[in-house]
Amino acid sequence: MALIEVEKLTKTYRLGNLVTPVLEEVSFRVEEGEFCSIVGPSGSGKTTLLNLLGGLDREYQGSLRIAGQEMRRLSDRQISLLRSRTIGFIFQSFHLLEHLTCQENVMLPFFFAGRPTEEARQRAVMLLEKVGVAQKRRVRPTYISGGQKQRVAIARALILQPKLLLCDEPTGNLDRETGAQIVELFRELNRDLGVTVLVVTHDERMSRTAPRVLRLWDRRIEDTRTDPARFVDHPARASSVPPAPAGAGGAG
Amino acid sequence: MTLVGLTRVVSQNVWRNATSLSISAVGIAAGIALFSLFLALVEQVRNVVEGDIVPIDEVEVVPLSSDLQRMASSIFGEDSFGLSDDDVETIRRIPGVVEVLPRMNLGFSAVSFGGKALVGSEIRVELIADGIPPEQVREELHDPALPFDDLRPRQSNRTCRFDTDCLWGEYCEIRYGGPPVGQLADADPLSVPRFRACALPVPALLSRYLLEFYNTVFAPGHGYVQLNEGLLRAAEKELQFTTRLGDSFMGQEAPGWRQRNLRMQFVGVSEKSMDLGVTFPIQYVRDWNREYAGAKDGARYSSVSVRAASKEDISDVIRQVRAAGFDIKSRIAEQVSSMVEVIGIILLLIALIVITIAGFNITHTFLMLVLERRREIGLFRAVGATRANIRNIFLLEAALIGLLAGVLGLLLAYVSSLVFDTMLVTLVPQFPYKPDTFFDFQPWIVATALGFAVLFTVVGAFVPALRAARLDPVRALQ
Repeated sequence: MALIEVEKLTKTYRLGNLVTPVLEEVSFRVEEGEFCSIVGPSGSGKTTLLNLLGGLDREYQGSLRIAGQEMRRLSDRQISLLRSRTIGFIFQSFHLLEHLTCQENVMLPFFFAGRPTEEARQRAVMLLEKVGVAQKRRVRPTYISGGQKQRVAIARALILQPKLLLCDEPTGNLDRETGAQIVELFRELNRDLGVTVLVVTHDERMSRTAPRVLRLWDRRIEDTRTDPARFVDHPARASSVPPAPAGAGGAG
Repeated sequence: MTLVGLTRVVSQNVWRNATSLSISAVGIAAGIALFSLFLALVEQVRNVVEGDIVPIDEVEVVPLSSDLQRMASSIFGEDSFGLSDDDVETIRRIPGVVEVLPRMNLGFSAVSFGGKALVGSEIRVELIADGIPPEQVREELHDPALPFDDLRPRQSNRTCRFDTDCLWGEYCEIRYGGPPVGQLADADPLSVPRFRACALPVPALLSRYLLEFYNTVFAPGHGYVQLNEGLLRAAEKELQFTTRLGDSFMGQEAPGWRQRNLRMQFVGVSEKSMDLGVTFPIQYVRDWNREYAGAKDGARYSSVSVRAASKEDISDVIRQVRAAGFDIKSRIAEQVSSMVEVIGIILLLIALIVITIAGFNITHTFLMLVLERRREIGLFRAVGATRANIRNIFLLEAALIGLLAGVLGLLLAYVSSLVFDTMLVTLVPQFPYKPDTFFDFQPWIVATALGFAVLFTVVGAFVPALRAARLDPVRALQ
């Protein structure tokens, strides 16, 4: 079972009488453990697609399944549960709470998952170390750099061990070098933890390093699997990855 | 979401927005201060009115006073008007009745005088009095030196000519033999035996009401000394006065030669004493009534005071008393307490209006907060918060602010009550039943005030909380 199954997904925005189609009959699948980037010019619907995948936006036609669950049919409680257990979000502008310390920011998803605080603290310390900002855990986000903020945000996205990381322009607010480090971190997490990473970006470097690139173009998607050998290094996932289906996507 | 987590998030939010929240909480606090202050005031007024002036859990049962019955008793010449021991027993058995106190009115006129030693001037008044069974006040009055009882079995009764012939504490009293005054007709005064014997003064009870009336109306007007219970207890000897049975300033009186003086002793203040008069042990009143009013049936009571288990029971008791064929003396207590209630409701309405306005202020503040925290709410939703979680965060935040505002309001109310009390004690002159404090903060008032503070804040924050919960996460995160 694929982690993400999208079939004939259509999304239109309505503003009074004005109907703006954003996505038209987009189809693709993402398997568990993949590292995949979605690229496209601005206004091509990248962020819209990401919001749909994360269940933040649930008004669409067609079919969209995450971990086998059709998003449109889930109740508010179920979708919140899915977001908390399966999906981790990473934003361009980090969205860290300035009144909390970095560690508290990382622990935040735990509160809504109804799990014990002590476990949250232990995992937060571990993850902050993993993303390389352990020394900043008692500091408020105001006092750390952009790259460090994004690392904290990544730790927050990972704390409930999601299967899927949805990243919206994660390097957009960072300089080239820092951006490269963050990309490297994603690769590492994909390799070490087996977490599926889906990155929306217009960063060329990122799209070049990604084993698989989905190009959004004229409301359609074009699936480019650059190098099947590179797309996953995680041994546990390697066997479950099927070969690229010929002509995948809704381009044709 | 765990409670610990929720509490953490909420307390952090409150701390973060302390300034804007405290401004809107001040309104709630002010409303709650007014609310609890008014409640405490009404409660205290009710305490004084119902507890001291007119006990509301008490009624006075009297015989059915239809004209027909009065006519019948006068035609047949029966002096059967009144309540018998059986009647008292019937009333005692009514469910909800915890205490019955038969009373017998003094059925003839008498004049009392005395008080020079105590207040500096001789006071002469028409005596208004009744009698009650002394057992019923025994627990209240525990001074063994001044018993409230029929003391005649204990007195020496030895023949005397002057007080000095008697034992310590006794005095030389005039007594008559022969028929009662009513049956004397044209009897020859010389044929009625007349002698002197040593007797103990008749114990008398004073009501708090009379004492209050004396202190606030009578004493200031005449420049007399004010009295209190402590002073009364200290001044035993000075509390003796003389009563001339059969004498009167205004109405019927017994023939002068048949009038006689009795010495009396105040032994205490009791709520069971009649309000505007003095109360004696019932045995004395019964015998005097026989002697001066010619009452045939000494076992008939003029009324019975009935106390119910609580003021909630009293209406039930009244219904059953009426069903059993008795009547109830009109109750000022009901009228006064309903008036107090009306004033109380008006004051509470004012307080509620203040709290409601403060509640709208809370709504406004929270709407601003939701707007301010849009991105945060979006983020919470993205990391797994349900709509209910978001709503609860805001509602709990409101509850916490409400609670803090409630506590602040209560403190404010308490401080103002102290200020008011000090002002009223020092600036306002004495009036009947002026209490030491004008506010009674009962635990239920504190609980209600806190409850209302939380309720109004939460209700005020409800619409903003719903709006926050319904926020579209995509737009919130933009």
